[in-house]
Amino acid sequence: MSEASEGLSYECVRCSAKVATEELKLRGGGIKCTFCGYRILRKVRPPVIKRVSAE
Amino acid sequence: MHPTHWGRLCPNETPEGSNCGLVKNLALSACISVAVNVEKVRQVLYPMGVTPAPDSNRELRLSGAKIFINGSLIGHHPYPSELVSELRDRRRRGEISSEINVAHFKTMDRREEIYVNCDEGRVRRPLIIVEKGVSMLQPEHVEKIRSGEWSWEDLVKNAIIEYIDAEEEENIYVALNLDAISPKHTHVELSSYTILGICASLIPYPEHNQSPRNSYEAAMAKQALGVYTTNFIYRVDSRSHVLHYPQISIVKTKPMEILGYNHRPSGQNCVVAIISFEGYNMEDALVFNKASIERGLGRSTFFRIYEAESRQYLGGLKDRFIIPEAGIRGFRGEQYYRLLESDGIVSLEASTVGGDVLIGRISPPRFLEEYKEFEVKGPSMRDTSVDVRQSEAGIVDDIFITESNEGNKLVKVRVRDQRIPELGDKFASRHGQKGVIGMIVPQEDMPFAESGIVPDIIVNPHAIPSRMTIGQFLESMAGKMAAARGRSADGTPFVNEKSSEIKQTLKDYGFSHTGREVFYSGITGEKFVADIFVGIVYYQKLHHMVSDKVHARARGQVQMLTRQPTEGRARGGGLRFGEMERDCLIGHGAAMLLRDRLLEESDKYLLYVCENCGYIAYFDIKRRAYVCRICEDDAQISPVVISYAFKLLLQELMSLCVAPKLKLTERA
Amino acid sequence: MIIPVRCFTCGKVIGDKWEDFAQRVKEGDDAGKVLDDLGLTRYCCRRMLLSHVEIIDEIIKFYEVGRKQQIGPP
Repeated sequence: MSEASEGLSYECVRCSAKVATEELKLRGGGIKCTFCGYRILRKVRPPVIKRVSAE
Repeated sequence: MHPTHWGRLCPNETPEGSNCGLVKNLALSACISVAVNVEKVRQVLYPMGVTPAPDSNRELRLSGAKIFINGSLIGHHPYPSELVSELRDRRRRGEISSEINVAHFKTMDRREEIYVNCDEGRVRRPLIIVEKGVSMLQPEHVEKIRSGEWSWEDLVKNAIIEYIDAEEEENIYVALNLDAISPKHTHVELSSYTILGICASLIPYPEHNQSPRNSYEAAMAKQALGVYTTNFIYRVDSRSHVLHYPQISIVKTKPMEILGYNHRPSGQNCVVAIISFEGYNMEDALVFNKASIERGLGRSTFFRIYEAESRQYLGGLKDRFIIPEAGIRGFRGEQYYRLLESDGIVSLEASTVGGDVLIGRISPPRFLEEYKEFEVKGPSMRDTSVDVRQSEAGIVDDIFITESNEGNKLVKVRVRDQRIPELGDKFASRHGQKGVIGMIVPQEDMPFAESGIVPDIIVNPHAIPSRMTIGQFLESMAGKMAAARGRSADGTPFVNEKSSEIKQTLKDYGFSHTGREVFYSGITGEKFVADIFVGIVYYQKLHHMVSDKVHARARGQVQMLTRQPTEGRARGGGLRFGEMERDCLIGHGAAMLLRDRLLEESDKYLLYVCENCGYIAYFDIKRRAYVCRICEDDAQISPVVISYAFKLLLQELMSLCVAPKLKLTERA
Repeated sequence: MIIPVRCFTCGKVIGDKWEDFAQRVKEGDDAGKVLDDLGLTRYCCRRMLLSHVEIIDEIIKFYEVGRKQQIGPP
């Protein structure tokens, strides 16, 4: 379902635990939080600095 | 409208146009009845002296009153008035259901009839019971409610308030307010402003407006932006708007508190001056203060959800979320995939523009079954990525990854776009005074008062006389007064702060009782000869924003069937040059322009017709010529310029077994 | 949502006055008097504080949800 992604992790919406893609695949590929089993994950913001213009 | 609508259906809240009068809204105090078992009611009535219909003798049938339950005759009774008052007393005492209503009809020549209604679906409204000229609601009851000891149900149980449906309302005499009670009255209104529905209850001083203006506002209030719910960051609504700095209107109405509007307001209080300004606020346009907008007036954010599911198909094939490679069918171009991360999904906070891919996805070819028949391997995977809508742009706000019901991976991306008020955005006050921004003027060019007051919005005075929305003027003065004294103004219909009070309070705070102030021109610096009317009016930002509507097309996609330009902004469509527009060009005699619009810019097509038989000829690849099957050698093929839609018509007629023949003549 | 920094109309700084205003009004002081004390004379500045709703206090709870319930490693 998802390709091998390095360094990408997701966050569980309920318990804010970080889940890496590798772990997801380990548990059968289904979308599931490893700590609380919640099935909705969010993507985590990359640590890039963004310039915002004030308007 | 019908008199029974009073207190049951809102007189103002109904849509304009095709649904006018058909779509109605319930008034605030109205409530729909719930069914009561008919048998139980019968068992109450028979012991009270009602003779069942089959048992009534001729005499009773002639002299007694007919008794109906839910419209069906059940029997007769010799003393109807007593029966009715006994039934009503029992209802007030709680011995029979409060959902039952009794109506007594007597006419001079006909016998009396009593209608007992206990069915569901009746619209009923609460009224305070009046006994012998004295209201049953006394100060001690009000105190109990205020302290929380009693609730609404207690008032009904203690026979202070009862619900009346349209039929029983024929038998009562309702006083408008407590002061108007006389011995003849049987009930008194709770509050007259509850005749309005939810949207109309938001309008301040509505009784001073021309009625249709209130109806327009009732419709527009539903288009205003605000904070629709506080958990919007977790929600995946396909489109949503959030106003950045919502404010509670300082001219409020009593129902607003009850509705909770003050917890989720949908507008802002603006300093509004009424003058013509440089001609930019004509025809209902509004002039806005640039600095106010820069400080946050009218700013909102627009959210849109894009979603993609990676489905599984027969034969084990499935979609994949991946950055598509260059060879794939339907590959858009490398730059469109630049924002995708290794999982095929765009990164958070990436700045996107129309056409950028948010979710990269490849799917197996459709109809693979058909290819299997021919033992040819079908084409490879194709790109089915989800991209940002062509005319939109935004920043990726949040991404949710989850599983669908079938167990497929489902990705939802929310993109946000900040909408700062610009020329063309629609705003409206609460009096049906809608308008679009015509100009945004720097603060220094704005007319100013000595105190430093500068308008946020400048409204044209021409918007007032024909519309007669005096409510806006009253709101303006009340708003100024409220801000000056530090306490909201009450604009509730029928029980609002009267204009005389507003005028007096304005004077107390040093303002003119006319609501006008001395202003100086921002451009020339000269004092205006006339004092300018200025105050605080609650304006709402409506969700019709120009960036959602602006659209242009030079050439583009055409439809498969008609070969005419596509329809709709989302599909890059053209604007229809309709029948009436065609009539205008005909009126001008602009034949070439008409041909231009209808052929060159649309579906021009060269059709080969056989002059002999009048049917369409076709191109024979082997003979490399146009032939007519019917005439074979007699055929004389000539090309004709027609619209593709006409050729389509010819073929549709042919499919109905009608033979459309074209008679050609030489071009003159 | 959160108190704007400046009055929309005239630009006078009002952001620093909200906490004071809200606290005093909650304690029962007359809003008009508090506005006078805070130095807001023009009605444009007065309406900014009078009609403001701090919805952000309700919205921010949804941002805190995750942080409070953290079970996994932070």
